[in-house]
Amino acid sequence: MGAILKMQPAAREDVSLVAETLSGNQLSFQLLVERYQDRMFGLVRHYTRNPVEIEDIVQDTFLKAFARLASFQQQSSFYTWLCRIAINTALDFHKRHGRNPVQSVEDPELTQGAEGASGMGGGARAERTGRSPAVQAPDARMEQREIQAITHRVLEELPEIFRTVLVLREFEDMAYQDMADVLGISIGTVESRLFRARARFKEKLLQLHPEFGEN
Amino acid sequence: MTNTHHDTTDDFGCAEALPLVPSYLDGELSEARAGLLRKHLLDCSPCRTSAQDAKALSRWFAHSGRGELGARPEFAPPAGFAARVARRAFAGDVGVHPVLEREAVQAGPREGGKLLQFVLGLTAAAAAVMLVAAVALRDQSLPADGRLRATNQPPSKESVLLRLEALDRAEAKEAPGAVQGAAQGTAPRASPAAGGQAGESQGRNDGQGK
Repeated sequence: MGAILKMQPAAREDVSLVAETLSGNQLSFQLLVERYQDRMFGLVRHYTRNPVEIEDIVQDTFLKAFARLASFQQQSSFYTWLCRIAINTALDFHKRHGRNPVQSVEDPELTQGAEGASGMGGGARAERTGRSPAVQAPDARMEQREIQAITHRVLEELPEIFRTVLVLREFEDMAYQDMADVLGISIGTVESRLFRARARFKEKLLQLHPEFGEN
Repeated sequence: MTNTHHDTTDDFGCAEALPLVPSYLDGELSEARAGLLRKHLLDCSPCRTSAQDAKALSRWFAHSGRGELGARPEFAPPAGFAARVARRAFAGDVGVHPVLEREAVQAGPREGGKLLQFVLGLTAAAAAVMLVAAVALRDQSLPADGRLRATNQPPSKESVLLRLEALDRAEAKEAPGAVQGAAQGTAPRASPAAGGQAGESQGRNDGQGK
């Protein structure tokens, strides 16, 4: 009970809605869905561009969440828990359709060094040994949609684990601890993975769009 | 380049500072570590440049519309989405979305394929049984010593004559009037046609009799 009182109001509401849902209140679950549906659509949008597929995956995410609601531990937020289900559902979806996103095992950077709390991979080493051009901030005249399209295209080129950490951090504005909870990894691993993901993003962005490199 | 970096304290040099820059910019460093990093960045120009690079990338993502992608109408939930999902959840749907259902439909031909395989297997087994039965029946109808008995060779002249005489005798017993004619050698059976037929008949009988 004390733990619930320490929660933010939104988190307390989530806990109440979950409890009411478990006691059979359909409207409470509907409120939970309404509360997070926009963010889920935004998150899943990074894994497929097809609006029908996005809707299918988000719907599947909520249905799975409902089926496992009794197992929801309040150690993490409902949103974090939901993100984990959504990402796994999106990745399963790709697997089933033979659209395997770039896999970590195929990524030479990941196979080079051990990934751990203290380890930085090849990207970090590259960053230390030589400075690549910095990314210019996009021209103010550029349409935001254009920047979004470029960003999305670059993200698609990245291995899935890099894409996921970037999405959670840069688009979902998630704290490292929440990212660690979603991905089931340590904070140190989040740090190192994010470091390399950014390096890879920058490298790919400048490769596809050298005009955004600083002169 | 790393060699030109500074060691601002005994334990906190560029090697320790650089990996912390992103966490620092994300506001994820403890105050103690952030303080060390700030001090290092003040004294170390290359690390400061790296931090500026990281900031530039952060600005890129900010321009990408952080948190706004979901608000775009084409990626927004349709009207009544939450109510529909809640209804399905309480109806016992555990997350088999239409894509999976479509996959189940696509699995149909695979099920049909299994049926076809079964039918083909059954047909092959039946064909094998019939083949074995045919071979067994054939073996049963073949002569035991393995020699063919049918022959196209005409019977010898002597055997034909012997048979004809035997027939004459038999007919003489049955029709006494005819015996005389037979004795005179005028019997119509002596014609080549009759003899040939008898010979052929005899030949067939020989073949069957042996």
